[in-house]
Order: sequence, then C-alpha cells, then structure tokens
Amino acid sequence: MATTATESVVVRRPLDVVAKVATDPGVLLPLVAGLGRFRFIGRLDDGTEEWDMFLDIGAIHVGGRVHVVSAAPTLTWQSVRGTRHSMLVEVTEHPDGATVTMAMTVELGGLVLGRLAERIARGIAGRHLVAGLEQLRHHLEFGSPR
Amino acid sequence: MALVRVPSLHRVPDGVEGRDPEYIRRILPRLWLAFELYFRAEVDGFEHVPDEPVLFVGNHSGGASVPDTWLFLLAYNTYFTVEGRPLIGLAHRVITDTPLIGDLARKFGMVKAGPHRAREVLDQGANVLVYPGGDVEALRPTRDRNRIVFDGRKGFLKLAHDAGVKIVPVVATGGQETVLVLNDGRATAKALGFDRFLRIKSVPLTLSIPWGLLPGGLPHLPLPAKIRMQVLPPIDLQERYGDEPDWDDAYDYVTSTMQVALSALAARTILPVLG
Repeated sequence: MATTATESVVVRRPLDVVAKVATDPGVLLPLVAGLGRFRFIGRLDDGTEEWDMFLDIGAIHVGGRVHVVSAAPTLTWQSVRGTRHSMLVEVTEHPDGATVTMAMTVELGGLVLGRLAERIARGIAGRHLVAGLEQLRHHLEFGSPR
Repeated sequence: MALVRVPSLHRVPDGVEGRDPEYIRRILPRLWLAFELYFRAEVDGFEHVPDEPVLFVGNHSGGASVPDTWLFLLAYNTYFTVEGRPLIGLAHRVITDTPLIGDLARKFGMVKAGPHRAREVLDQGANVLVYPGGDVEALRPTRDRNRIVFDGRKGFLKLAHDAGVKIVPVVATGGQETVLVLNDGRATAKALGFDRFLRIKSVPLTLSIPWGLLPGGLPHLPLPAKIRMQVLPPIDLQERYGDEPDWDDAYDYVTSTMQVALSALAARTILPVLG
C-alpha cells in the first residue's frame, strides 16, 4: 500500500530562476528536511546523487538514504534504505511566476493498522511539504530562509 | 431639565493605568493549569525579545475564545514577570465594551483598539500586542488554520515604523483547531452590514460546543487542541526599509516570514487537535 501527499506553492520569480533552485538538491534538501536532518553521501558516475534525509516526527525518524535525480524543471528521489518513499518536485509556469509542486509517496507495511498509519503519515508529510515549500518560496522571494 | 448621567459600566481605566499586576498574579496559576493540562501548551522564543518597547504581531485563532491571546499573556507575564515591562493588548470593542468582561480584560492589560491607542501605549514604554487579521483571521476557515490571514491590513507596519519600534512576530498553531469554521464569512458580514455597524468583518458558519452549528462566533468551550507558540526574532522596519518604506513590500516580507515559521510549527503536528 502507498499514500501520496501533494502540495504546491506559487513563487513570484521567473520559472528558470525557481527551477534552478528547486531542482538543486544541495539547496532543496536542507529546506525540505529543515525540520529533520540531512547529509550528502556522494555523487554517482551517472551524475545522480545520494543523500541521507530524515524527517523528525515525534518519536520516529522517517526517511533514509535516497537516490536523487535532478533534471530541471523536475527533481525526483527514491529511497534506497530506510522508510520506503519517493518524491517528485516539479516546477511549472504560473501567471505570477512559477508553481512548485511536491508529491511525496510513502509505503508502510501492514493491513488495517498499516493503512491507518499511512493516512496519518499523509497528513504529516503534507505539513512537512508545505513547510519546505514555504521556506523555498521565502528563500527565492526574499533572499534567505528565516 | 437636568440630564440624567448614566454611570459608566466600566470601572477600570482603559490604558496602561488599568492594568493590574496583582490581579494578573492571582490569575496566572489558573491560566497556567488550564493551558498546561487542557491545551498542553508550548511557548518558545522569548529570548528574542529586546529590552525596549516592541510591537508583538500575532496570528489570531480560535474564534471568539481566542485561546492564543490568553496563552501569550500567560507566557509573557511569567517570562518577564508581572512587574516587568507591561504588555498591552489591543482588543475588539466587542470584548472591551462588554460589562464585567471588559473590566477583567482591562485589568489583564487589554485596551480598546483604536487608531492612536497603540502609539500612546508604546510611548508610555509598554509592549503592545496586536493581531492585524482580527476577526477575519480568528474566524478563518479550518482548512486555512495554518495560514497567515492579515487581510491586507498594513496599519501595524505604519505604527511600528512611525513609533520607531521593532516588530516581534509571534506565530501559533492549534488555536484554530479549538473550533470548526466551515467557510469564509466575509461576504455574509458585508451582506448583513455587520462590517459597517459592528466592525465585524466575518460571519462564517461555525461548529462549536455548546452552540453547535452557528452563523458567526460566540465564546465557546474550546476543543482541547495542543497549542504551540513561537516568538520570532525582531524585524526592524527602519533598518530594512529606511524612512519611506514600500508598505506592500514590508507587508509581504513580514507575512512571509511569519508564514514560514507558522508552517514549520505546523509540521510538528502529528494529528490535528491531539497535537
């Protein structure tokens, strides 16, 4: 089973400027994981990267090692260790600038309780995505995240 | 024929002089118990507050019961002590004009909101607490509970700039989970003329205890939502924008800064209401 949280934010900056930042894992991951922890592991031969990324949620740490593929205007990552999840970041045009959309899909084990946990996880993931998107927007519009 | 003078229903002066530190000291333990046990409240960041008069700017939540206001008063008066720099909150006339409740609010440091009141209080050396979003924000739909809704009001920026004081933003989550607000009630308030006659800008459909489904917000028994509050570093408008700020830019910056912090605080929520 899997559940997906999707959130968007409008950034009042040109699409190319937004895409460059939003699809740079070195900028984006610290923003998205600002409420947890993150660490750059290394760059692979094909140009992709591996990072350790965890969200601190109450008593647990959701995340693990992720394989990041960046190709502006999109960025994706897939877990290779830890909580099974994937992420899609996409930048599209908007009359006021650009829209950044993040979609996080989380897979948890179990049947009834697993489904309940996924439902709760979707809300948590959604709030983390909003927090990350707002940090990204503020960073782009005002120069520095608070 | 002599006019009959009707005695004022209010016995407590509306201003810094009406604030009663001993009264606050007596009430604090009850408030503390309520917020500690019922709302499991957490407040952080008072170390950011400079030792000079400042304008606290908060996001308003919880309909007519505004638990975030009481929590801030509690936390402030225990962190800085009741004898420290007084904190004065600007309150809607619905609160300050209500017999008995108005007097109690004034003793706690609330004054009736007005164009010059905040400036007068700042000039007296007190800190001032304002909620620019007012009733529109306190009655925003539940779906927007983690959004800053100042409704384009920029008066607080001009106040801070003209008075030469820093803005200290305060964000809180959980307050808007104490009542269920089903829609945005601004159009209803306008249609009923409430915005002109009562200065009430929002009349949404709310679901609360004990009223059930109700147009508008009456004081209710709040749901026991966990409330988290964060005091942010000060923003100096003079330093950032000079003598003649672009108010739209300043508004965007302050609300954006608060939105970032509010969203980060909201991300700590595991389940709405439970915290």
